[in-house]
Amino acid sequence: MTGLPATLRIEAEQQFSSGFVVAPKLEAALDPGAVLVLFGPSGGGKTTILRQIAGLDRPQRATISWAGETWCDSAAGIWRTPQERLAGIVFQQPALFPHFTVRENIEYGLATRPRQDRRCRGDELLDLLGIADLAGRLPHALSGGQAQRVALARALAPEPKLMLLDEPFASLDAPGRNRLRRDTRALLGRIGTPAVLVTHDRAEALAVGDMMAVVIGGRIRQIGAVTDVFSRPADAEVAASLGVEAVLPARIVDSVDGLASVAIGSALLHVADRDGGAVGSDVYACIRAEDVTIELESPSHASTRNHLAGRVVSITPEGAVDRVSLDCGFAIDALITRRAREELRLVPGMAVTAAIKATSVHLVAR
Amino acid sequence: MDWDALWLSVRLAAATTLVLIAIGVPIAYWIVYSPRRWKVIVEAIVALPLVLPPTVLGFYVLVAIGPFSPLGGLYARIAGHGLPFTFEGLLVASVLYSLPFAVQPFSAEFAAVDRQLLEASWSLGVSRIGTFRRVVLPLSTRGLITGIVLSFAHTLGEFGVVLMVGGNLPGVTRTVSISIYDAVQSLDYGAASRTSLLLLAISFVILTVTYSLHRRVWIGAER
Repeated sequence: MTGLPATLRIEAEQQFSSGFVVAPKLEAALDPGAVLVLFGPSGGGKTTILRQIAGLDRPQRATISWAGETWCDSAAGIWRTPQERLAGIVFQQPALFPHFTVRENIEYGLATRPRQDRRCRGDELLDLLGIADLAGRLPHALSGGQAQRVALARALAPEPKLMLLDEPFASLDAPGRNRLRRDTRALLGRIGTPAVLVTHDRAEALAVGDMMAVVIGGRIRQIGAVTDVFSRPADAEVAASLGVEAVLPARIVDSVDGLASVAIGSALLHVADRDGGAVGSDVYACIRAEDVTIELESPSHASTRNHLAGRVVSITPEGAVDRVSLDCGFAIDALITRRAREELRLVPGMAVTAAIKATSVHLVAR
Repeated sequence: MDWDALWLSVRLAAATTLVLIAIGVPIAYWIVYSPRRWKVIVEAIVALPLVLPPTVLGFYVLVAIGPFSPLGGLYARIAGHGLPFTFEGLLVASVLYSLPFAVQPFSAEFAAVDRQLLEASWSLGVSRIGTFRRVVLPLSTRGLITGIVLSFAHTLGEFGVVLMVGGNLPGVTRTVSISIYDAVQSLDYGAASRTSLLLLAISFVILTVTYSLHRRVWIGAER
């Protein structure tokens, strides 16, 4: 990928009649093809922020700029319409024009270009999205995944400098969702168009995102590289919205009969991998603290596949259970009952074995 | 059978419908998409002919287009004759009288178009008017047909307003409903029944054709 990063700056305040205020403040430099994820619980204001960027919502107070171009400055009275911003937008529903064919939908935004140009660009996008055989169909004859591909192609056709994706994969079934996620990520990287993606799905944030902003209660609570945000949540509320799992960068080194071996640093984990990632591919291994147990010595007969030598780093009481932080070559937490902790006589610095069932490790493709 | 009256009614209905398409579409567009709060007042004004007695409407129109009003005076100076008791005067009254029958189906159909389609179109660089022309209008054929047919049929059957504004001049303002009234007044029940039956048949055929068309369009959209 070549090209300089472009900076998205937002400082806005939009009050709804319900009293809810969406007041994002963020600055993110996006490389060509990079994806900024707006992540957070439903009703937190993610979609509103996206609509502010698109110019579909007009905040009472705002300054919004993209790549040095001011799109909105309420103090200076500057307002660019959605037509002038020309940010490609894809909604959760495909919102295709029902009276136009797939090709006519894709070429819709090219009306000002000569006919030959339109045709060319249409062909190009039909190919890019792998939907050339659907060109003559009407939207009602498409599956959900096909329709979303057409919506993507339509948004990309006028060559927008920024793509805005509002949970575009959420209405698809799991296999279709994963495929379209991967394809979208690869496509954006290839054509070098940066994107802002709204999602409440952590697997999606991990699979597609480069940067991530956590949106809670109408505000941006944390922004950074995806792995940084997952491994170092700014506060308890952000951590809760991200889920309780540890997210560890890993690589698949072997895969036999649905059982994969993944390397996390110097440690090796066996994982029952239903998604069947290819050997050599980078993944995130997600492990819930509840699924990590602690043993004092390595048992010879047990069904648990993974036994990792490690050391107790710290012990934090959390109500009836204790959170035991371990260093097994990588950082991981175990949640165990206080009684178990007392019986094992755990103290910081002690050598232990962490046991993790192969079925408790969840892999997310990167 | 009063063919003159029938022909006059058809001409009036056709002219009224054309004018209503020209002004009804922009009014409906404005009612649906304007952010102004006071648009409810415009909606109410448009709907007034539905509840007002035709004589009341006719009376105000007569006064408004009469030689003593600014509007009527201006027209009289330009055209050389007044509006009342002419075809043009009748047209003005009919347009007002049938306005809700065009505007309401139009606006109901415009409002039913998924807003996300409009937002998608705007974000693709297409202006609001362009979006209306390329997305909203084609998806509103059902409402457009309904409005056009209702306007035509409603004008064809109007009586009170015509009587107030147009009077009863054969070939100029004597429409088919007036002619039936005349026939009954002069106890010519045969003529009244023949003309009535014809008007009934015409109205019935128009509505049947519309509804069947409707169905086709509707099923086509759902398929």
